[in-house]
Amino acid sequence: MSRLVPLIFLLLLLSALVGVSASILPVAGTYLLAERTDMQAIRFSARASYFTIKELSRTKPAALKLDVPMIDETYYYEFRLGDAEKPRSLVIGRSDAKWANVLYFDADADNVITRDERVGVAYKYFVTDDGKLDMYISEPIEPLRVKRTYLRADKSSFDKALTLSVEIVVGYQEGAKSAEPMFLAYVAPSTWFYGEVSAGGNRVLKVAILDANKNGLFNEAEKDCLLIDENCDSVFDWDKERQLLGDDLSGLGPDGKRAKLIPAVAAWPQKLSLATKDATPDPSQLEGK
Amino acid sequence: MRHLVCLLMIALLALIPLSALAATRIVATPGAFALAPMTDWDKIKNDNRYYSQIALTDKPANLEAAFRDAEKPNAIFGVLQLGSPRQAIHLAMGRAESNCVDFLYLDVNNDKRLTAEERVEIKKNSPFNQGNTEYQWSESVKSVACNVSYMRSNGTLLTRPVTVQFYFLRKKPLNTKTPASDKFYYYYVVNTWFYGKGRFDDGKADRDLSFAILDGNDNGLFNDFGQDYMLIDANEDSFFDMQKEIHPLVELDEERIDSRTTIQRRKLIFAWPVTMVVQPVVDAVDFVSVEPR
Repeated sequence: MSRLVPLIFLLLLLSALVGVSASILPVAGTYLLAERTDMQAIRFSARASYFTIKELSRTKPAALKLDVPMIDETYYYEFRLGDAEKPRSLVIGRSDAKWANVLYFDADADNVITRDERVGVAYKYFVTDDGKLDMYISEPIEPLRVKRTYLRADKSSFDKALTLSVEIVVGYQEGAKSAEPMFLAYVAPSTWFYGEVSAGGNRVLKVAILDANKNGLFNEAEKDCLLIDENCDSVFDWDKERQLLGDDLSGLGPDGKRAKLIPAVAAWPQKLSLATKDATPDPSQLEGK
Repeated sequence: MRHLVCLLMIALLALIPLSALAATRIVATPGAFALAPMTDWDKIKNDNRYYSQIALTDKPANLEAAFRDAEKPNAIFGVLQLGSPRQAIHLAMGRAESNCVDFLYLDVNNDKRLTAEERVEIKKNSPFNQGNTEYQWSESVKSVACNVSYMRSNGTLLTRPVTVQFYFLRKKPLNTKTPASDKFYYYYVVNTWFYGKGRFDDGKADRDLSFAILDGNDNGLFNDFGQDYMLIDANEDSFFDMQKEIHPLVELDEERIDSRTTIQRRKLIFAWPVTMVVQPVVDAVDFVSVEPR
């Protein structure tokens, strides 16, 4: 009897550990995805973990032409959505305000900023660190849209509009050597894809696909991300519920057996495939029409 | 050693019912529950909502504004971004006769004109000091209803009033005479909420309880799962307690039937809700069924 006690304890401990460590593994299959742009559904402990943060430059890109009225104080931000895409510029200004209140976006990527490319800006938040650092954060009233070309497996192409989230931070630091404020931009695609996958036993799990490397493609292994709302709180936790595409999903399947599934999507995802290694679908099966 | 092992075992066994309890939460059972819009906050206790900052803009070129003379040079402009698709509801505010915000115009009918009739009455409160800072603050005397639109599945718009309350704060450092070091804060909070009666499982029994749905992120939408709140009057005292009876509004609820069976249910709620449908998650989703006609 005395020898049985530690054995029972060990078994209980092991079963408890297995129960804790095994994540819920969805049922293999192909699931529909829908485009969404509400970034509030994704929780970031620090926005820097998803958004690209860049200090803005006062130097105009050489190829950029401005066909707009002069702005008092002008900053520039140039970015590309992928190596094959043309660079696009944001021209950010401040005129008679503590926050960035002028914004032009070269939406057509022709390197000419025109009057009709002006975007309405709203100053949304003020954040202070007891006056040591005051930050005035503004963003476009309407999300920016970027047209991007995608290739299908058969080499045909189609265009889609990505939405872009841009936050401009103007920071004033107490005791800073320069009288000029610090200008930063937080930029990332705000388009993401949402779906529900079966967890077996008449249960579903919410899933999200995010373009983590911010190039407009959503299917890059080891770069883009799959988030699974494991705790069913209707929010995707970037820090706790994220894994890279290309990494196996492993855990206990609905039948109680440990298994591995490989998630796969197309560059502009319409479907999410969760399949075992030997049943991975042809990428063309995941594309939209 | 044997005693230690036994103690550990008892501790482990004791954890099992605790973890089961922690997993139990009060969940809505299947049904369709009618909802009614409310603006009266007397039923809500321990109001600890986070207020949202008003987004400030330059004066929109297409906005007409009729201010009083003293207000014209001091007007600053802003927008409330409410509804679906998001609508910019314009406002103008400023200081004409006092140190804190004392006038406000809100484009309640959303026609891009700020008229004399859309002037919102502001109450100036007594300032107070805290540390080296003086706090001056004012607020709208009552909540203001503005027209907000919501898109149905068929593309038509439903327009309904959403009430909003305003709060303004000026933080004035006492150790400096530089007005530039003063900080101004412009806040609003959505005051409309929805009341309903539903059937809930608290882990022991099904109970008919009152519940409330609150706009947790002040965007005028009441179906932002994970962002909005649900208050359930679990102690049946006819009040909703924002400290003790608050739950995040989640789309998927899980009800544990026994140690092996869990049933998952889905809530269907329109952005301006008239009903909350709770159904098994595997049932076909019919969003049109919860849309107001």
